[in-house]
Amino acid sequence: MFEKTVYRKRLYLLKRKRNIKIFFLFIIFTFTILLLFFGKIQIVKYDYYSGLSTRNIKKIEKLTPLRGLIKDREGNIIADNRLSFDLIIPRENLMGKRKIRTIKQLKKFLNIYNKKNKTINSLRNFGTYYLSDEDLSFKDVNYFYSNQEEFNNISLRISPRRLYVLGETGSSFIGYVGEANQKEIRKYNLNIGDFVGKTGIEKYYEKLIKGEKGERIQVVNSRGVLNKIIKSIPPKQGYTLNLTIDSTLQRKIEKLLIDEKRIGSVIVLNPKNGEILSLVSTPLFNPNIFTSYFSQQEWEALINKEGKPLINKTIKGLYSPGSIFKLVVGLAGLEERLISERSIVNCYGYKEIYKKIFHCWKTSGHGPMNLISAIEQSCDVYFYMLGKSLKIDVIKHYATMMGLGEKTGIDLVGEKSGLVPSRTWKKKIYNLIWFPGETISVSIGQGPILVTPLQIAQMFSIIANRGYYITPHLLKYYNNDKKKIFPKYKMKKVPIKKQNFEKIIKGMWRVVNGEKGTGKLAQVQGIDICGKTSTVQVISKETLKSKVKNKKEKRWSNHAWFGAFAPRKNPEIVVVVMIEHSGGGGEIAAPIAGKIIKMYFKDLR
Amino acid sequence: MKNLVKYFNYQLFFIPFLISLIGILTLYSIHKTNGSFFYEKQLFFLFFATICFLFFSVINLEKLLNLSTPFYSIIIISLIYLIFFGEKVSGAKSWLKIGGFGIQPSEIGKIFVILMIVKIFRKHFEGPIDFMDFIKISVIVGIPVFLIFLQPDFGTVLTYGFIILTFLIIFGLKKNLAILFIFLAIILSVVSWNYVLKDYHKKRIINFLHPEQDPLGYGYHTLQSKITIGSGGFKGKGYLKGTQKKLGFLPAQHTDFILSVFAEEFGFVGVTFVLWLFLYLFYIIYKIGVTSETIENIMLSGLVLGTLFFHFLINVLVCIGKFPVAGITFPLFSYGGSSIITIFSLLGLVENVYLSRFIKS
Repeated sequence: MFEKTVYRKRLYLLKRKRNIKIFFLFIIFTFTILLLFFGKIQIVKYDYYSGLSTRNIKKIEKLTPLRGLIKDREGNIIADNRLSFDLIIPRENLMGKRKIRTIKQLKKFLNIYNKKNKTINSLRNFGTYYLSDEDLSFKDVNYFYSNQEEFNNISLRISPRRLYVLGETGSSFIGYVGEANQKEIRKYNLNIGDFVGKTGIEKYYEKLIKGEKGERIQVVNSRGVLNKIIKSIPPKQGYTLNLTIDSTLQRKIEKLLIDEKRIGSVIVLNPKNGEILSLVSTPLFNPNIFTSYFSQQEWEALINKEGKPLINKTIKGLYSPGSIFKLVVGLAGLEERLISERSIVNCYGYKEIYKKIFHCWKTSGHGPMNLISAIEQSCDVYFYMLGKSLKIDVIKHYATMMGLGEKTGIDLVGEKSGLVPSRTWKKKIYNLIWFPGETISVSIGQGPILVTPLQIAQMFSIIANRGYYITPHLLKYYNNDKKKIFPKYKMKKVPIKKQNFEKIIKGMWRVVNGEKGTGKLAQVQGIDICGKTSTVQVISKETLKSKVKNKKEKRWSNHAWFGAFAPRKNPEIVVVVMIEHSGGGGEIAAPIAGKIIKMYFKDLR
Repeated sequence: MKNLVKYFNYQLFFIPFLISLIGILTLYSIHKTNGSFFYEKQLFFLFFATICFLFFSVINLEKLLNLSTPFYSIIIISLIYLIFFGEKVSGAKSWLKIGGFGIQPSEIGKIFVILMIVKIFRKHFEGPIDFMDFIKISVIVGIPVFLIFLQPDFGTVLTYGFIILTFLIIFGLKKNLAILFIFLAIILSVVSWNYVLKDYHKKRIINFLHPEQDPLGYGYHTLQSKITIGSGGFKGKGYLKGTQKKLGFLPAQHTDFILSVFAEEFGFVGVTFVLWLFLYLFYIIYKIGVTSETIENIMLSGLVLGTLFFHFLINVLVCIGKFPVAGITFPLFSYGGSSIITIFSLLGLVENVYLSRFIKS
């Protein structure tokens, strides 16, 4: 019995020892595994962790450069830089225990100025910091700095912002800057939160204007506290853009249109060198609103506002050229020797062509017309007959030669090319053949033909120069401290005989100065102005009569065009006025052009 | 006394002593960067721990076992006292202030919990643990664990769990109890996930499973620890030359992540040496255990071995990112007076076991 107990006791002890032995085998096995783990981390993946370790220490900070200035031709600043104060929170202050205090401070600061819409959730993550509120007012900044101890977990960042000194002036072509989107960040090598040109000059010359980023490499500890600066490259400001724009003239023209509540475009340029003196598109907008906080509603209100202020109508507005196109048809007739100055067409107020009646705008008829008087009085019948014999493809050939239906290549983004029809065009788009009857309406610039005001301005430069032009542009030169660079703009020739231009110009002179000229309201004492009026129907008379209820609605009114250059000999300026839905070119657009020409010659010189 | 010098197992003392010295060297390296004086205090604690080792190695084990109930009670009372009157130090009421010194009863308690287990189960001569046995051990360990849980100090709770785990390893479980156990474990984990664990615990666990989701948030510490270890490479960056440590990217350098600091400066070579020291220490304890002839001695050495091993293992796994950050220190190596005193006392008990085969006290 006793032996049995001793035996059982021994067996029991042996079992416990056996368990401990197995356990120790497990321990040895574990150590082997641990050693393998350390080997993997410290030997196999050494390079990887070593790399992470040095990245831990170095903090690379990109330094935002100042955007280049934009100046007008006189050196007046249009776009400048100003300081902006943004409320930011370093990332580590939103981690762990500090978070509660940080949020408390933030709430307190925001509540003081009743910015309840800016909650903690609206914080935007920029990696090493969070952005809470942008472009604080001076009151806010002042409060922050005088109570800095209270807000030690949040801080202010000072950064440059765009300032458009002239406000609304030139907004259509200057454009504006906004925060870069993903695509722009990749294209221009930017960081999140950087500003980039969104439209206009700001966008077109982004690469010149943006400057070069600086870099600061620092050694920091885990709290982001600076130990020392290893390397520092200061940022380089972008080039200053010196535009061809005369901001005084620009502003005067803008005021002229706004006072009369006109929606439309005005272009003033120097035909000799293509320099644009004014590029007006109304209504205007203030580009400064884009540089600080901007709500979705404000944005929608702006894009839906009557007259679409954000659309630059000088390059994006597409309109039928109307009677202005008669100049092209006339030139084509002369070049093709289908007419001479003395060829006569009798106008009875209408003409039956291809068994259809085509009306002249003057229902009583103009009587016998030659090229000069047909231009002067804008006789439709004369050009119906000329167009009929020219045929559509020849008209297209000359229109293209005069720069219509194609982008001018101005230094702005989003320019439209417009449209000049042809047989192949109709075949391609509608898969239909061209009917000769369609040519008749195209001859007076109606029907499927669309141009931009800038194209018309370029065409007037060709006529004013009697056969050559330089692409209209806005940039005269750009410079920084060290260099000054003038872009080269090539002179382009148009293969039309000079004497044919002279004949057309004779007609254009009579438009303003002739007894029966349609553009007499553009006259300015002492200045020889040549021009052409145009009144574009936006709806045919028959449709207006039969289908439209409220005929007095503005949107059914005609577009008014007036193009001009002056003086007749050795022209200095081309002026193109295009007013949407306003009435006749002679009544509405011509006087505006006259005032602008007067401003240029009498007030500015 | 003569016999004591003759039969004393010197390795059992000097190996852990060496590990602690290496720990103090590492604490000195930390002092060089942030000016903390952990190394000085730890040196004092090591001195005190040595006395405890000697005390526990010569004490009459039989008498100590008989006294373990009152000692155990004192620990429980002080833990209850802490719940009501304790001050929170870094989030937990675990410090008892006695005349200028702070001790953690939860640490010291391990000694007496182990002694209580030995006392109660020494008469146990039957096979695997049955239900009643399990209830007994659950109560012995459960009372202090519950009180520590209220402090709350989850890292220490976990180390108490190691004691039960080791106990089960030594004695084995009856089959039906094992099944019940697994079942309970599942229920417990579900319940604790939903009702007990705080959000930051859950985040730690989720993050541990998917560290790539939030490298700068809760995964930050684990990643930083791996970077610290990995950038040490084979030979290390050299003593006092750790950059990760220096720039403060690594949290809890003197406690949870002290091994990472060491690994950065001494590399794979240094880590292998420290691991070898631990393995050697475990071997000595194991050897003493399996050569003992009484159940008390086997149990005591086995429990000390298991508790120490799991404690060691979890910390290493945390450092290399294989276990969620648990708030467990590196035994002998990390800063902490109560911890080092407790471990040396436990090792002293193992020495006592060893000496008992030569000297009849």
